[in-house]
Amino acid sequence: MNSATLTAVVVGFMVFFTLGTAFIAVSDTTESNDLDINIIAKANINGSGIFADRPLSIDPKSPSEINAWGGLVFMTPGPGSIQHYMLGKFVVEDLGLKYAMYSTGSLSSDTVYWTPVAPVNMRLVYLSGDNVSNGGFPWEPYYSDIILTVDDVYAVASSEEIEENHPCCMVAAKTSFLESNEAAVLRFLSAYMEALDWVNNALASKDSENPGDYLNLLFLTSEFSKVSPTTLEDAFGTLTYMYDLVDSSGADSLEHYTSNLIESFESLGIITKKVDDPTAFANKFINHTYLNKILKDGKTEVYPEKKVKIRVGHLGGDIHQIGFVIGMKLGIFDKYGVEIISTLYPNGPGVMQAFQLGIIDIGILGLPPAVSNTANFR
Amino acid sequence: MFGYTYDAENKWHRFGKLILVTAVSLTTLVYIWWILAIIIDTPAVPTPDLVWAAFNKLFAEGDIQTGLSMWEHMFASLKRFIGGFVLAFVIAVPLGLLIGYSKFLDEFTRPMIEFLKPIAPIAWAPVFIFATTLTLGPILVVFVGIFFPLLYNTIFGVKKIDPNLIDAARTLGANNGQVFYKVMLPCTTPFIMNGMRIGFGIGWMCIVAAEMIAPLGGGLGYFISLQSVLSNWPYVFVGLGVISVLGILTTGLVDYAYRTIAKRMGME
Repeated sequence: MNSATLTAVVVGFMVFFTLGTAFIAVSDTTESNDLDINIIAKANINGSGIFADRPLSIDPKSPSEINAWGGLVFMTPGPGSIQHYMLGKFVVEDLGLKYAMYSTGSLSSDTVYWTPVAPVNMRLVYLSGDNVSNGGFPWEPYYSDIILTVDDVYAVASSEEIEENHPCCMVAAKTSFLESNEAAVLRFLSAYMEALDWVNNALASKDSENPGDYLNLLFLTSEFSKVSPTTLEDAFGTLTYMYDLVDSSGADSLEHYTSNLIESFESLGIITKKVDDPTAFANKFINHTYLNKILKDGKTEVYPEKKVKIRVGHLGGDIHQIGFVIGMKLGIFDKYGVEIISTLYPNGPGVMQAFQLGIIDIGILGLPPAVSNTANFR
Repeated sequence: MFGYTYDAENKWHRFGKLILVTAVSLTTLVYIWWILAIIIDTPAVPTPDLVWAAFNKLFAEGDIQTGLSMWEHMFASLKRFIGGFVLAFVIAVPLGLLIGYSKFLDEFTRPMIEFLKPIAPIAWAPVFIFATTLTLGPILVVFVGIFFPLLYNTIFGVKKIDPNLIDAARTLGANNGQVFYKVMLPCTTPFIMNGMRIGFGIGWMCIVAAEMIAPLGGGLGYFISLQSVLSNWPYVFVGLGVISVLGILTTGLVDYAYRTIAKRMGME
């Protein structure tokens, strides 16, 4: 390299670094307070359960019953899931033990360990020769599937027994979509509410003289989840389907629950971008506007001819969200003039990433991944 | 320029040039990344200052979600990586020597190898993990990643041996065993090392994929996967950087061993 070329290269770099530094210095990279998504309805409450290879008490009366939990390893869907959060809270607050990730090596009797496994795989991992887990905390229908089909496994507790009427899956919508497509959102919610009402009526008809809708629900759900109707019958017993954001049972308000979740997630390092006012965040995040409008004014008219397209992301095989699936299968969304373009995702974070990529308008997912991702993705 | 004359024969000049070029190159990379992050303007591409803050926090406090330190994540991945490598080495090298040596074995195994080779090691991940155990599965995924490059290079190395060398050894009274250990093995060593070099790069890709499915006891792949599903993007970038450094260190080690052996055997 001759002297002139070298000089040109050095000057080129100096210009690049000077302009680059100036560009970086003047750019505004402060965090945004805008939320990417809002929760507009519930999908269900409860609907998960803990199984183990031995009987365990969730209401221990003696130290020996508490000690029975020590040193055990449980599979959870991983940090950021409601099951993981609930197990940790129960272990720390109710049992007074520590909650730590399982790492190969000795196990301490004052700790309950977790290892992340997708609920759909928990049965397979539990039955493998690894001996790495003593149980797990999957959502339905995998909880009932394991209880009914695996020998020597104990149903420790349903999630409802650990925390009554805890929130689970939610209907979330992209904030920008909500703001510019109110009519479409109202149509979607009207159809969704009708579908969920149909599911609840079908479940109520189980023991009636004419359980036709119940049998149809079992058939359609089995077709979607690839789980046997026998298992589904058990699974439906641990679930409550509801769309209302206000729980009339007297449970903690969703806003309050969300606010507490944010504070817990910050202390657990799951939310890494500080939320200055969790209450204000929760109040903004839970959006009652659309559901309240329908509850006040009634469902929208049916528009079989004029269709709007809505891209919806939901979880594959997850019966928590069966209301939405039933709405598609029974043509309820069509009736309201909504053409659904649905995409399946393996978990809630997958739905959140689809929101972030802008490829879905509405998603159905668990509250924790919705909260943590929205807080971090600002 | 600047009254300085670069002398390519002077090792200090060469070293100084290497340091300068590396520093300018990496600084340029950081600047390009920073400018792109600002232009793209999405939390998924954080600016370097955020990643640096996350790096300091993670190495000082550890990964709070799992309770593991970054060193423990690195150790978990390295254990799997070394397990897969050792397994691949003890199977691929003897097998490659035999296949290269025996025409019959070469013809017999070729269809099998050709059938299995195009399958990406990452595609095996769910099969190995759920067909075996969470402990063994990820090791087997790394094994597959390293196995084929190592096997192919070993076979190639045997075939490249000058037949005159083998004839000379036999003329001097060497039996089959002696030909194998005194001619074939040393002559194929540089090729085996080359297979290791290639395999190590693939092995790191495999470990990340395997840990995303089977994260027993943590690991860098799991760390990256977990942070991405939580949208903790600066942490994801720290994980990517750590994997890059580990990859450079391990492949650098093999590279160094390769050059030393190749030099000693007169190949360079």
